[in-house]
Amino acid sequence: MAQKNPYEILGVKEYTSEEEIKKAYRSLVKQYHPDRYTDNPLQDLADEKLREINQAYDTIMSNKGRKRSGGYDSSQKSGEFQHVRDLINRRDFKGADQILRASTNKTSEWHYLMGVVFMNQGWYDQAYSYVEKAVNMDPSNPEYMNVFNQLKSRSGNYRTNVYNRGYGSTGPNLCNTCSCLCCADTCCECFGGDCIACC
Amino acid sequence: MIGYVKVYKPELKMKDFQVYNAYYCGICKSLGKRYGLIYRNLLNFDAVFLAIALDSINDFVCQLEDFRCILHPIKKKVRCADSISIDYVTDITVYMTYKKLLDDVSDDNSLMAKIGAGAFKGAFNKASDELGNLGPVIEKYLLDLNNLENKNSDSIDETADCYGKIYREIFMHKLNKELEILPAIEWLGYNIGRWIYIIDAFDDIKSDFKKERYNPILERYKYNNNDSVEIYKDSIRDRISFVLFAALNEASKSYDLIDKNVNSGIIKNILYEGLYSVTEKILNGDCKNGSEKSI
Repeated sequence: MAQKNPYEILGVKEYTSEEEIKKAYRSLVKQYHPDRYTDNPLQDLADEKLREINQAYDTIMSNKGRKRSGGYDSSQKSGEFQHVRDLINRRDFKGADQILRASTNKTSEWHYLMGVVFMNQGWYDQAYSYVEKAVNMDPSNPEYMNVFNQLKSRSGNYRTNVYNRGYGSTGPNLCNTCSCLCCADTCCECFGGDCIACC
Repeated sequence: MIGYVKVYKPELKMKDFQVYNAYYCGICKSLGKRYGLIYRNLLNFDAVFLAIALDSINDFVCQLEDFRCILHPIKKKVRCADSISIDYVTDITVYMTYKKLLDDVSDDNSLMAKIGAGAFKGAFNKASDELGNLGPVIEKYLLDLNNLENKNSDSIDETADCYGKIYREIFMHKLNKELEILPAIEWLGYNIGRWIYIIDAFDDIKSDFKKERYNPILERYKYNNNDSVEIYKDSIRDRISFVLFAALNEASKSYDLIDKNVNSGIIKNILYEGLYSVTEKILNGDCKNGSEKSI
């Protein structure tokens, strides 16, 4: 079975904040909790689902915790393009680009490294195409998948920041107004008055 | 200089809004004084952003002064009196507008553009003198861009790269090259330039297709004649939005690294909310939205 995207499993986007992902995770766990499926023909299915959710959550969290965005992991290597990887680590993208272009061995790793070089150059459209191709050629490779997700989250991070800065928020809503009132009333009561008798 | 780099007013503080307006008026005044009244029409939001950003990078706080504007004689206005960047930005604006007119002449041989370019020549020469060795650098990248357009390049990255480099050079030109934060400023300029080029290309898809003009997006993602422009835009929206937001993400990260206090409220408003809202609007099909409108 093809591996599913962990973000899809949790029903979140790459750019969703950690808080939100935790929230989504918790509500899914509640939803598929074994307690709800005891004496139920679907128990096995729910177990399976829960396992999937746990796995997805772990993957996302370990990705988030690991390294800076656009970074690139040198711990997993295969001999073929080691020199190119060294150059990239030294941030010599021109040199890496030259060697890659001269190479005729266009494996998934080649596509992946081209993508990394382009990303660091600011050529986002090409970067996307190359890394996507690498992932398609070798879907089981966690390194490619990881960088592909990071790449997609670049634009996502920006959007999250925009929302965190309050873009599009409409000011206090009815709920906030009520809780403000309740707080104010509690304060009042401390001083002996009471505006809202029922609380 | 096309006018996409705007503030997002609902989130802008009043004090920042005043400074923003003061720059706006300052540039307008400088255009009038140094080039002639008619050149005030060239005023655009990209220029205002550039002046504000350059002063911020230089830690320069400009003095505000009251004045009366010929165009709004009743209202009292405030302008930025002594900014070190305003005259520079004015020269850039005149220079780039002239180049754009020449481009229009070669693109569709428009008579208006021809007349405009003719009338502009004197001002352009002056701007060119003022800018010194920046002129030839911009010229070179514009030539690269022109060559790519002439051979109908299907690479959004390659074409946007030229524009990004132009903005990078514009940002860097007046700065001390020893500056520690220079790489962050280069990256900021480069990504803003890229964003402007691509958002403009997306905005122009419909008209470029009609007039059979070159558009990198139309070359990159082939247009199926049976579909409407809306369907075409739907099909490429995700990819283009990735490219645009990636550039904005890098630009805003760069400014965080530059980490200045002067004008930072305005700049962050532009980088986060302003450009975000313009991107969303244009991606979702708001046609040319009077980007040059005055405040």
